Amino acid sequence: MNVLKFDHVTKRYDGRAVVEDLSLTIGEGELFVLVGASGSGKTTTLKMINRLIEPTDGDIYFNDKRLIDTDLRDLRWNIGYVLQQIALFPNMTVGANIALIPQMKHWPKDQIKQRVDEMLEAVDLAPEKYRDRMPDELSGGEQQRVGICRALASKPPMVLMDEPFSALDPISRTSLQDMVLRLHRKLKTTIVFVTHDMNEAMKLGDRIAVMRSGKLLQVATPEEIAANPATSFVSDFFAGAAPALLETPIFELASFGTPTTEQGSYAEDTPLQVVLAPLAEGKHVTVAAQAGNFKLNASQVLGYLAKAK
Amino acid sequence: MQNLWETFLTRRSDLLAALGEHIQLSLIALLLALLIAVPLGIWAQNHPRFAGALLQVTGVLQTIPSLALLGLLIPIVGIGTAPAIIALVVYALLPIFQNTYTGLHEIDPAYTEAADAFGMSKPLKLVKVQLPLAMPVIIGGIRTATVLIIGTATLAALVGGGGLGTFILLGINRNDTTLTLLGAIAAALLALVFSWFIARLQKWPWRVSVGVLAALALAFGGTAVYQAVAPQPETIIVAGKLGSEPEILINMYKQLIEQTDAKVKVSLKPNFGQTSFLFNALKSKKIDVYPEFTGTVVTSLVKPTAKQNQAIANGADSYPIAEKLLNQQQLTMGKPMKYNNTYAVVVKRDFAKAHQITKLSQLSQFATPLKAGFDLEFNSRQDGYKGIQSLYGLTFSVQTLDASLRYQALDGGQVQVTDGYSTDSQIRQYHLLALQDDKHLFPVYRGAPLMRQDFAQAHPQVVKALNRLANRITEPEMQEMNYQVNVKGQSAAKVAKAYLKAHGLLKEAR
Repeated sequence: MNVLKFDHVTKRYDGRAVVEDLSLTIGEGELFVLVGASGSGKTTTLKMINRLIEPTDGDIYFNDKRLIDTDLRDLRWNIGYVLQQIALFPNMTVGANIALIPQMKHWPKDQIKQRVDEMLEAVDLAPEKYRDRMPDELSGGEQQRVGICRALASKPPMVLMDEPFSALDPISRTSLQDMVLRLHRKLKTTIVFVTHDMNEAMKLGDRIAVMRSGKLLQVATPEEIAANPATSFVSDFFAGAAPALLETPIFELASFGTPTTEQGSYAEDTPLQVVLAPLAEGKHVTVAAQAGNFKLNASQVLGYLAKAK
Repeated sequence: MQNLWETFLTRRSDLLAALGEHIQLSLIALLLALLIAVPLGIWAQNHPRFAGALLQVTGVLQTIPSLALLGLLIPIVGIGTAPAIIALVVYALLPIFQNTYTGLHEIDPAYTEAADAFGMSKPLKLVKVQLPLAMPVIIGGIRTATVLIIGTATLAALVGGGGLGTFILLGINRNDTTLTLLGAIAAALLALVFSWFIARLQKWPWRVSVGVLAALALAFGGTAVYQAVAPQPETIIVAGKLGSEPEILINMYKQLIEQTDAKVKVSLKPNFGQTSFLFNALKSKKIDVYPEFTGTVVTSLVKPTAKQNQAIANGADSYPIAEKLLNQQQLTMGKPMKYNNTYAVVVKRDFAKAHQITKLSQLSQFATPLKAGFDLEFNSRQDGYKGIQSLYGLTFSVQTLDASLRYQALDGGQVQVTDGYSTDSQIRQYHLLALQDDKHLFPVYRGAPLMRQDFAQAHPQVVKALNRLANRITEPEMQEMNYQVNVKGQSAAKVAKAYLKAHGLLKEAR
């Protein structure tokens, strides 16, 4: 069943099309990623879904009903929203931020309280520790976890995420990506996720829509895009993602290596590409890891690369 | 410093009253400004074109000099607290409007976008998100406005609005810097306290802040409205010029009127302003009675014919002439009191005794000219030193002095003769003698209650009560009473009551 359908949607500013003749459908429970460089129209497309931006032409259907025929408040209460800037309201506690939409929906008080704690637990934040803190006491990663709680608190059938992790450090980003995948599996919420990072798109997306200059280039599963990029731009964009693989901290390769008692010569967060040179010379690399030191050789690294997404 | 402390102690009840007026005035103005400027600032968010224009307008309003603004308002809204409050509101608009507008305008758009995306209604978004986020900036504007209001509110005294300005004005008028300083320090402290209080307000949850503000608004606005609307027993408003003497007199008026008719309420406005201000207030029915001098009437308030002027110059009583001319303006004067508050030539009592002098003409016995300290105006007036020279044929070795220094110079022996007013408290304080003007050089200034004819006709019992002072109070008596108030720090009401009782004008009962 299609939850969302774009039917020949165009958005122009001063006659210039930012999104041009866009048609696509998003299925129920899908984690759908819109990916593209800045200026591709992906964020505009996203914001047309909850009518922060109104299309110039064409129609968008949510559950087979035109958006413009839907009550704006009902629509927005049914669509969660996670912002790149996180934007937790700094004048409210973490709990109050999460409780915002349930409160507007007049949920009973104890149900709201229960839901807040439930959500915090779901994103690995201890409720009694975080509930009453102010947003500015939290790290960026913690704040965005709360941001996700806030979007999901009233159990909306759909959530929009606008580059939610682009402002975070790589370690937080990785763990939040994992968390989104976990939550999505558990809640089956339809998620529309915008990113400029092809790696993120490949990791998260059930399907990926690649956009460029307001146009949709390809909509497909990550495997299809990797195998059959529709245009040279898509293949370049996908290829551009590859080097990022070489930035993987080497501790992620632990399961491919051989445990050793030797002293490690590389720290566990060393990017993979740093150790390529010694490997090319046929040497072993020893890694000092918290979980236990290990040795890597060239064929083990190739094994990792072969299995990496 | 010592002096300041003493003045504070003797005046503290007056100061407290003035402080109360000042706070009331400032708070009402602040709350009105808030009620206008904050909604305007909110409204301007969605009307950016008007926002620019409004900033211009409020900015221009603020550049109008405060004195000019008060002057412009008097013909429209009259005198008293109304023009003062309007002027204060006008000044407070800019900082509050500007900060509300920019505070809301500069909120990170991510927050408003989030609020929209969560389906918040506009009012909810305003209350839950926009206002709290803009609050520090808005509070900053309110603090600026408050300091501005409290400072400017001292000018309210100029238009009969009361407040700490009365102290400052009185100090300037009497050349008493401690009074001015007292008013200024109180106003400055008030501004600091308010500024601190408003900064605290910010730290409280906004619901509490709004509650406190609302409570203050109700308390002060409510009293003001109640005072304006509530049916009250007939109130006769008696005002007086700056200084102790008018204040003592109007307290006598009050006690005499209230004795005659217990149902009548008399409201006093001491230190209400200068002559022309009171005269206009009387004519425009803002006040009902004030004590005026016959001499002042004929020289400044009405226009006598040349013949009448000649008669006055020849020593005729100016009261009948004043009354006749006042009647043409639908005004009337009660019967004058005994004392003549006019120019006087003053010597030390010891000096007068040693040379057996009581009259001005007796100064001609000295062969060498006496050393005299006159103030600049007296020295150059025809009815001053010039007249003394021509009419009395006296010559002094004159040194011109500032009015405030004359008595000290005489007391310290630097001069032997000085000019003054015949009821000055210093005459009593420094044991001086005002010499008798035996050739009638100085014009006669006798005090009498001035009122409108319609008022006098409607209140014959009031006129009768006031006329009980006719031909009462001698110059030494007035000197003594001024001394009690100015130097001894007694309240004018107490001094007035003591006099009336001592002379059987007030019944002992009550």
